[in-house]
Amino acid sequence: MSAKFDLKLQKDGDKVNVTLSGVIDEDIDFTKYPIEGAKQIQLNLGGIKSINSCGIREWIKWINKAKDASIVYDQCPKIIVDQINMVEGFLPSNGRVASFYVPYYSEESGNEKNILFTWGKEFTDKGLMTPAAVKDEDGSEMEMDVIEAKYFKFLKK
Amino acid sequence: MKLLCKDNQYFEALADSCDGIDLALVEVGMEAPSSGFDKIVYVGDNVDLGRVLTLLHEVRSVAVVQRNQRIKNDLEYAQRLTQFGDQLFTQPMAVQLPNLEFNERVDFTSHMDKSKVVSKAEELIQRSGVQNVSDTLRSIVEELFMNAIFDAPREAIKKGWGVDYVRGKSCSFDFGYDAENFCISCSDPFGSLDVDYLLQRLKIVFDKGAGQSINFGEGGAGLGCFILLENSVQMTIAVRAKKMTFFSCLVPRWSSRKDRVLNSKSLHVVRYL
Repeated sequence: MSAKFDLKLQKDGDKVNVTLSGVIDEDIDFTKYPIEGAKQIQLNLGGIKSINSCGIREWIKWINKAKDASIVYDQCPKIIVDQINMVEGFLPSNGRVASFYVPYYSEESGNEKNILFTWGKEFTDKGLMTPAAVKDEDGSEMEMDVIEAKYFKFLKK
Repeated sequence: MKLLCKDNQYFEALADSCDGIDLALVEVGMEAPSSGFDKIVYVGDNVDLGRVLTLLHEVRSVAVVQRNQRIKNDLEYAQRLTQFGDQLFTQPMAVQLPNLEFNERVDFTSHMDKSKVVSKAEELIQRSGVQNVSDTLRSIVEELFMNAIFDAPREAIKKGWGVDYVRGKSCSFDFGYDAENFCISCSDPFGSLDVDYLLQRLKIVFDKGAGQSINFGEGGAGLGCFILLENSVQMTIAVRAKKMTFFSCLVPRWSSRKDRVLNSKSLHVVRYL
């Protein structure tokens, strides 16, 4: 869990690709990464390790600067999905989730694995199509380790 | 001890050990005795967080515990707090986890110490051998750290206390676990927390939703304690005004994330004026 934060922002016309990694906390300064004026924003969130309450606030202020953009959250780790579900506005109304991780757990081994759910494969506008079976490295069956009604709540919006 | 629960016989053994303590154990929904008891512990089935917060507003109310698999430990803890609550400020792990397997304290004085504190939390997780609590414990550490380093001194200044009285003193994290639970505690030397304001604030976040309750102005975001509750199955708040504020969160050690979320939450409050 490195405390370092990194953000790479690439502009391609009116499209912006953003890759974030590390910790989003009280030290974050999103003003260094302007996104105003972009028409499409793709955010790769797979590298985010943690986000605290100050980070949540700064994220909302930042993402709201791109009200006219079409925003996509990609490879959302569980901590980001938790914020999307818990904090209205964390995923703005002009945003959608393209892929996100779902934790699986084996009671037998105590192992955990994160499975990527991708739009068009494991979920669509019609609902979830969960993987048939997930096993850990020892071959133990793993179960989805979330309260489905709570974790997938954002898909219903 | 007075018992006013739907299953009094379950609590009679506990009541015997609480002789001499002015504690009333009251079923959520029943009326608490109006006199004769200094402290009330409410017991209920799947009491939602909003109700927990409302019940703790009552000055004599010291805890709301859930009737689940942890109820015995929760009630024994409530009893220990009634008798030895002041020891939270000196030996927090001994009060919270009597059968402690591991305990370590980290002192910190500024924001620069955050990485030191986070490293200790990581060590705790490694040592425990549990994989699926990393982000949960990290969230708890983040919010407790910000409370102690930013919110507490800011509140002390707002109250007009100045901060000279804490010069040279430090905050402390205590990390520990026993066979069943992790415990992360944090204390600061300011004692500036207004418990009733905090409970009201938490109730607002619960009722309106986190997104509608964020403070976008100066100061904290106003979500920290809500995040602590989201990530723990039991929380303790203790304040000795102008001396110390103490927060603690309990997280089950050997459970799936799903089971942790399904656990309804208990809350204990210790108020020293």
